[in-house]
Amino acid sequence: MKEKTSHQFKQRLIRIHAAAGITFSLLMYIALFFGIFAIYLPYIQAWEKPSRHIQLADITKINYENVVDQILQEPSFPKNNILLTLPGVMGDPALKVSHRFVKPIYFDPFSGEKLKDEGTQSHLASFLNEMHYGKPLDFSEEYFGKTLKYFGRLLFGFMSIGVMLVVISGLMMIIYLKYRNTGKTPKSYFSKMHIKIFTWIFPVFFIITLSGAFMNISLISSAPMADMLTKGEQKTIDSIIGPALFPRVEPIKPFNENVAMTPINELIKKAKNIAPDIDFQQITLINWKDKSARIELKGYNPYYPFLNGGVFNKPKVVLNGLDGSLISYSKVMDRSWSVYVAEAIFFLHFLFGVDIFTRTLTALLMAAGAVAVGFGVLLWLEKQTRVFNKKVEFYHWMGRLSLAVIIGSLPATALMFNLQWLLPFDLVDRVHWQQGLFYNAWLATMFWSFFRINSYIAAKELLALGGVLFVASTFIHLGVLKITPLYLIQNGMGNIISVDIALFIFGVVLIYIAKKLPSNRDKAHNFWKIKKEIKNG
Amino acid sequence: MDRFIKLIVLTLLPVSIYAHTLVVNAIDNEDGTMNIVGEFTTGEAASGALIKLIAKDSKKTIFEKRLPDDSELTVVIPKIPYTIILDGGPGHQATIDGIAPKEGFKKTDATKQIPQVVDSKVSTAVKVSLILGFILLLLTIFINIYNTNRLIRTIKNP
Repeated sequence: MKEKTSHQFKQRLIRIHAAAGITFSLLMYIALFFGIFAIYLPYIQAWEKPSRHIQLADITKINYENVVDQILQEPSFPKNNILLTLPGVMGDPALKVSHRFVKPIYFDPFSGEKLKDEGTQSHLASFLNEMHYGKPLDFSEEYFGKTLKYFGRLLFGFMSIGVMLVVISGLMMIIYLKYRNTGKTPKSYFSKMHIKIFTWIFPVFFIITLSGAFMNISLISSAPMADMLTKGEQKTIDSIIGPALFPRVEPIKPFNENVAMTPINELIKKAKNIAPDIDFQQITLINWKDKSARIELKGYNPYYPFLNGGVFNKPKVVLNGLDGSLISYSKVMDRSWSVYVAEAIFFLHFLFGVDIFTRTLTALLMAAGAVAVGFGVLLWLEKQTRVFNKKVEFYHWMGRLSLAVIIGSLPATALMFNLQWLLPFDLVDRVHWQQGLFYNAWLATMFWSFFRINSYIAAKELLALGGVLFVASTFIHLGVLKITPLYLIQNGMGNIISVDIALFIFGVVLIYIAKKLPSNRDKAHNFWKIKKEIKNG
Repeated sequence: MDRFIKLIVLTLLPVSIYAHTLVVNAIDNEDGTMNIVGEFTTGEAASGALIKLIAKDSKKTIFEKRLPDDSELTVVIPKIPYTIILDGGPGHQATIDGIAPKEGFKKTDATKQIPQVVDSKVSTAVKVSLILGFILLLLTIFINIYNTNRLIRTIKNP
């Protein structure tokens, strides 16, 4: 009896895992695939804009006064609480001057001249990031109302929850079912790879998925929680948690007396002496040029990862604008635990201020996750194959759709990178053309996946096309700007050339995979077997 | 049960959700002026945000000024129907109907209302992309049916 119950439990576990897995697999793959680009968002953001092809400046050697004077002369720009985002923050080499209620203005940190920012005409990195969390699937509020305004983000949020179910059931399967991983068929190879990869990466994968679910679900639909907590008084969570996360700062009354300020460079150096561990990112000028002037310098302390530098907790040095004397210094550990929880969740997902190596490690883990999802789908598809007349003619809609989503996303995304430089920056609706062509290229890969009876050939073709397009995007970038890799290196634009190198290598890898992959089912059987023999040998 | 339904409705209708939602309030000072207060739902002041009073009929801007440091502006109540907008940049706007003066709003001549030009907001790029997308989808469905039938015929007549 006990044995029977155990057998039923295992069977149900397998069914739950397979059903939930195949349901969420493609959306999860999309989130992972575009998530890799989102990890490199600061680098792609600089790569995609001609105005950002400038060297990274030393923040203590910029003539800020020149920039601030220009801003104070702008009639429509608020004169108080001016925000200066320093060069290098989120990979942007420009000096960004903003106020929370006006459009930012960008300056060349070397010449102090206004940059011809591409603005909404360039949206590549942001779009790839939006694809990662489902924003493009949100419906327009104007046409569909508030209910569907967050459709895409909620869909991706619920998918993350579903993926957590898949991960937990997968772990239970590994514990309860004894996998031998000794089979010699493609099916057993896919199963082995699916299990092995996820066994290695599941803790990181689970945490990132959990924080993703938090971003898309909790933030958006926290209304019931707020309603219940306040017995109907509040309908939004921000009104409850806001005061704890963003303490209200009382405005400082100006003396209305104009005085000379200490140069901002000097103030940055003073702040650096007070807090040498902080990488300063943003400056707020309060009552600037008045006797009551203050300068707030916020940043990230890399010695306390997860706990600062993101949205809620930024260590802050406040100095007197006149003489640079210290007014206050808020350290990382001066806040409450609730702030650290919120900050850690955001940090886990956004990787605020982390270096290229950590980003690459995370990207590799996500890529491994995407490959493992791919093997999971292949395993499911392999189980659906039926033999007719001693011959397998597998033409399953899910197989074709998976091929289009998983492999088709490669040429479609590569096309976006090419269009970024092929479409003129003054083209009307440039971003719509670029994104429209991206979606249609992706749909075209779906057509091709259904058109080719032999999906192995279709996969090879799409991989090769993606590879060629990724390689081409680097040449088009350099060609359109009429620059060489050497020019970028010599002028300190390592962040931009590194994107070109990454795209080139990625393209070459795709072409190599396309060349190596089998072209039919019989060869596929041998291909996976050969891999096995090499490993055993 | 009611609570359960309420919960479902609230979950499906995320009203205003993200942290930092702007709210605007107007308080009648009973002396022909009003105080306009702009803030975030967190209670944080919205100093620097733009306050606009827009005439309902003509859609003209009657008054425009940024909120000072105390996030509060005293404005003379307009005589014509109007809307108060707290403009915090793209996607961050809060709107309320303006307070009426003691004697009520002046009646406006409906015939003088400026006709609203119905402007198609859908760009050529979106139109072309949608058409192309539907063509590709139809082609995919067609090729799927064609290939399926071809394979069925092959299986039936090996």
